[in-house]
Amino acid sequence: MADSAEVIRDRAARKAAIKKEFIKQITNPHRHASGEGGALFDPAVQRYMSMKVTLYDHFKPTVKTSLMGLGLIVLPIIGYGYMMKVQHDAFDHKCRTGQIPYAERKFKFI
Amino acid sequence: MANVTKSVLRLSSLSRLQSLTGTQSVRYGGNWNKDWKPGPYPVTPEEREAAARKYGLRPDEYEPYPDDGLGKGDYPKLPLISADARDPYRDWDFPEHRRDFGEPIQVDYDMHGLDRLDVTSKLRYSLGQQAMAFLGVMTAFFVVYFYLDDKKMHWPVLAKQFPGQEQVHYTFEPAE
Repeated sequence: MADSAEVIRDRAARKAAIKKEFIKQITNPHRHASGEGGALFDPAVQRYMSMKVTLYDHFKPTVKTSLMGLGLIVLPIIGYGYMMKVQHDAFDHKCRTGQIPYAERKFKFI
Repeated sequence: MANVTKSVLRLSSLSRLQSLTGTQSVRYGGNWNKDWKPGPYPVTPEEREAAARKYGLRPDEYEPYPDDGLGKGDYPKLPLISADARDPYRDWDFPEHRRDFGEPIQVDYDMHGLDRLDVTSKLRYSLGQQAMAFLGVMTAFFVVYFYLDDKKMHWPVLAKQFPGQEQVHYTFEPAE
């Protein structure tokens, strides 16, 4: 992970400039007067927030995304519903044909 | 009123310096998502350089997410460092996030704050060790339970003694 000295210097210079501007703005007593005041506007945070809410703009239905949607959303819902139906139908049939004695009822400990 | 006007006039020299950080002294319409959201995936080298400059990165360290349907436009791929793993003694601009002003934010930043996930630090016990410890303890519990399930403990007692075992005392026929 060896960055050249020039890269490190360039990065440090950028950071120092931003830091200097930040301290200047944070300690600027006239920010209130202009009507802005409050939390200093950070463009990086704004870009991040806007990215988070506009992710759908870059969504494309491909094979991978379609399989993900089917496998993680559609299949669990339909599969779980089907399993519940099958289980309950078997229990219902047992009840209606009298196969479950009172001593083996479901909630006999409460 | 005059004081406000004077201070606003003095602020005019700020606009040059504020272009560096993108701040603005007077906000007119607020900040809209359409102005700040990531642009489309950069294809040409000029677009890549413009995107790198927009996010404050060098063109050689700028890398967007691949455009495979789950991409994020031209938002850069940044190294994921949890907040917990950052230096607690450095003078951050925002110490509660361990972040500096203007530092570009990784896409999963909200998941790796100080009170949330920490994926960067070296675990005290590796995940394999944790799994083995859990399985070992639970196996021990289950083995002990199922082994002792049919072994009962009670006061030493004899079997109940009924008088006259060989005689039939009563049957259950209905009284006719």
